[in-house]
Amino acid sequence: MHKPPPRWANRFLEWYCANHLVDEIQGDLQEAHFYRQKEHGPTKAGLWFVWDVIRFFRPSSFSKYQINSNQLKMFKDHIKLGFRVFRRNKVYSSINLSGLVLGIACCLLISLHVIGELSYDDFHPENTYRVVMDMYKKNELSARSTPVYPAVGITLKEDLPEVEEFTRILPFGGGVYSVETEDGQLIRFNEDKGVYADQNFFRMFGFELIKGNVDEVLSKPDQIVLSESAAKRYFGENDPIGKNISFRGEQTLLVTGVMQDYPKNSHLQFDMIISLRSYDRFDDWPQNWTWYDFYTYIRVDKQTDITLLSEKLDGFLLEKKKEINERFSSREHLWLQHVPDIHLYSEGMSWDMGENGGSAQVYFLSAIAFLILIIAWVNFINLSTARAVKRSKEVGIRKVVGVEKKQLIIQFLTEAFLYNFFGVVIAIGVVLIAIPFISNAIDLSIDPFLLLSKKILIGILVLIFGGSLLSGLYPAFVLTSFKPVSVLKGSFYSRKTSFGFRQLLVIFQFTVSIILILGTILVVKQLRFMQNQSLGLNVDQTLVLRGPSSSRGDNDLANRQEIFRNQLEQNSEIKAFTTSSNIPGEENFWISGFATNKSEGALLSCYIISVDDDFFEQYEIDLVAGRYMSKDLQTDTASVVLNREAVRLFGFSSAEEAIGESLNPGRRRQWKIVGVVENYHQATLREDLDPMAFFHNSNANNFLSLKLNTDNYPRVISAIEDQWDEIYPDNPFDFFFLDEFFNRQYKSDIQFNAVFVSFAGLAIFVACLGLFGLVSFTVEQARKEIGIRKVLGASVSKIMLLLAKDYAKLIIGAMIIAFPLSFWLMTKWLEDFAYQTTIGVGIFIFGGFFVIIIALLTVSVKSLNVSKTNPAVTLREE
Amino acid sequence: MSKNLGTLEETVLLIVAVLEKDAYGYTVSEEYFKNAGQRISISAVHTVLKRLEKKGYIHSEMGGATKERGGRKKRIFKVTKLGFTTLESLQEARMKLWGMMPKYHTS
Repeated sequence: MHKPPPRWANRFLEWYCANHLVDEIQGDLQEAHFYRQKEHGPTKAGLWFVWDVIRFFRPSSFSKYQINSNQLKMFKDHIKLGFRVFRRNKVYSSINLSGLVLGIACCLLISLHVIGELSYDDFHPENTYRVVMDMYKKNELSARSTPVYPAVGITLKEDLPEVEEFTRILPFGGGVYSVETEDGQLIRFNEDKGVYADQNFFRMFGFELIKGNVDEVLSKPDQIVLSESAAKRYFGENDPIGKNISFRGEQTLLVTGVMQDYPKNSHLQFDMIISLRSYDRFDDWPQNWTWYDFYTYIRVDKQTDITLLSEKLDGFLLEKKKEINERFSSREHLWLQHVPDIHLYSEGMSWDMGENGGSAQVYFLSAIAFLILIIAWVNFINLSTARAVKRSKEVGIRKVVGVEKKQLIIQFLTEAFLYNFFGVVIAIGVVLIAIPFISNAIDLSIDPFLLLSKKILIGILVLIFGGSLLSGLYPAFVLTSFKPVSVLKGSFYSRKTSFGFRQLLVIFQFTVSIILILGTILVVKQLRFMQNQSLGLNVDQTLVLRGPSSSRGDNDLANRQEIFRNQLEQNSEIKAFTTSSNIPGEENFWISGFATNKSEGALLSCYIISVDDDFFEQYEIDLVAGRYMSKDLQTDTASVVLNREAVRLFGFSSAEEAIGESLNPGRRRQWKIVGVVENYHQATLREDLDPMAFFHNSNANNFLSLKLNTDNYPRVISAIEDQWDEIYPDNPFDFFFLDEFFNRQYKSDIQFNAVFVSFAGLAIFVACLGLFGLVSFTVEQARKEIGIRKVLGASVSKIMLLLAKDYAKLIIGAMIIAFPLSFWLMTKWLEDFAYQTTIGVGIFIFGGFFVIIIALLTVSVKSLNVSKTNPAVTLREE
Repeated sequence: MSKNLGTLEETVLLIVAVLEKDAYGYTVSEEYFKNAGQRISISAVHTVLKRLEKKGYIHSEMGGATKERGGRKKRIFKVTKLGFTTLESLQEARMKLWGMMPKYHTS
């Protein structure tokens, strides 16, 4: 029984094949199929047939469509003409095109960045949320905490049926990890991306486990999952599964899994995950409502109404913590963050993991990109219309010959299309070239492969066609509305045209440019202000070592620290030396509630730092009242030093009043306030000052700060390293300079600064291109007028003034709009900063002059050219 | 246009000559498989035939349709005079060369 070849393949063949070829091609293939079926069976013959059809799919088999449609011919004509017009006036055309290219390139670059930002955490299972809480003390919002209590996850799952699953992450897995190799070498690293997590971690998130069983890797105590790169760090090419790794010298963990390195667009970035059961004194803490260090994620049922669930969560803790809340006059509200929203919408959250919260910046950048694009199109409109004069004769003749208005409009739209099309193509090239430079210069991550993403491709199409229409319609109508008679006679415009559309466009362009310039000045000023502000402490020439965390026993680290301290004291190049639990510029996770006689029973949250007695003197933190702590006084283990902010928080009216009072009076653990020190900035000046309580503990050793006495850093560092390796062979030597470390906090501000400055520069540049176009337009009109004026005795400067006056009006108009608008925007922007520079009149004066000078320069380049021409030349032109 | 013949072209031309009045895409490709022991696709055969026709070695006319072809007509190819003379001169040149071949003793 003969089976015909696949129908679709035959249809496809008939579709593409030219009529005069279909007989021989299809005939041969079907005949072949017929015989092959007998020999090889229907399947193979069918496949063979399909393959042959595909092989014939080539230009020589295609039908040749005859282009005999008039319209298509015209279209080809338009394109040809477009290229010719471009070539005829290269300067104008290139100005026009480069404006577009710049605008589109900016827009693309920013879109790439924005899409990258928006793509955060889009690979996790849906319906996953992070539970966070707002904490109120005495009805005042004290913190928006990302971590919550360990009991939250457990009780949510028990009490609310819509919560399917929860997982908790405890961020205490940082420290020294070490592995001993077969030849006795100790591989050791300080890891800061280590955490503890519940066993269903890999069920909750979209992170891929390369080795190990999803349900078992974190199910037992002393298990650890490493990222691929971490595994390579410790085990090289060997299989890490089943091997031991030691954590802080005391705990031996079994490697049970290897996970893929986390993608960049994840707000979680972990290298090591230890099973939560390994945590010291683990007991699941189902009743613990006081210890808020657990990042908690839940997955809810698909049908869940999130608003309803949010309402339940809002009151959840009021119920559960009633007693505690009443005692300390506090309250807390849980709320949900959808995981993909965490990266952008976590502004103002405390103790967050990763650098989250940039929605404002993203919106801001998008707005700038859009504005620049609009400026570029406006430019195009301006320049194309300006060229209308030059082309008016062409249009006139075309009309006389009988070209319809519709055809003319299509012609000009085609030209606009060509500009936009090539603008986009070149812009893509520019973007590809620019990306590596940008990533280098400001460390802004832009992924060029996103150019191939669907969103961008659609955007590009919209850009090309939308842009062509937007920028092409007005010039098309202006150009085609010329009356052939007046055009061909040669006079149809005078310099004094009424206030028109183009003038409006220029005002718009300059309004935007002025706002951007003023903004730039402010951004730069604010950054300077923050960096130059006194921090309240001295971080110069301070070398910080990450303290040892790998110990061999109970008092081991304290003992070894004593030895290390003695050795450092021998070194004359080290002026001073202090140990502390935290350093300036490092986010402080240690916060606790205290009561005082003035706090009316409330527990007030205050940051805690453990320091030794040299801390204040070395960092030059001034004493306001009382005294510093001293190890010579035995009682100082029960003493505390507060900063001014803490004094204010606890309700004391002055520093002196606080001295002699206690924290937690009448309770088992209480501390006497012996001193008050000046505030210093723990973080950048974006943040407020924090209340801080300093406790005395000479063994606090998270960080060792060394004040250096010398400029020969390599020598002193290598000397210290030698001593370190002798005393702490089990701990890595990690150091950094505190001033650099502190300034790194300004990274995002510096980025923003750079981006803003460059875009503002581009915007003004493009706007000037537009102005140049417009000036050329008017000056071109006024050639004859200028000629006559010159004949009658006007000087070059007089004529230039005359021309400049027209534009000065436009610029001043733009300023009148831009100044109040930018004042409002600048005030808004500054609100984000705890410490704000003043906006000041200076910015406006400087910015205003800057714009005027640039604009007038642009105007005079062209007008000087024309006003210097010999009037005989212009007047003879008739 | 170059009148040179490639190996494949020459073989196909020979096959067309051999098949006499029944040379069209499918038969040529089958014949090629039988004699050369190698498959070439029908589309490749079509290309070669078209090229030969352009060079003037063969000419074509539409032939009858058959049931196996699904009612499609054949394009039948025949060798032209030029085709024959070219084949002959190629053969002659080759024979001449063969005549000059020294005798090899294969042991």
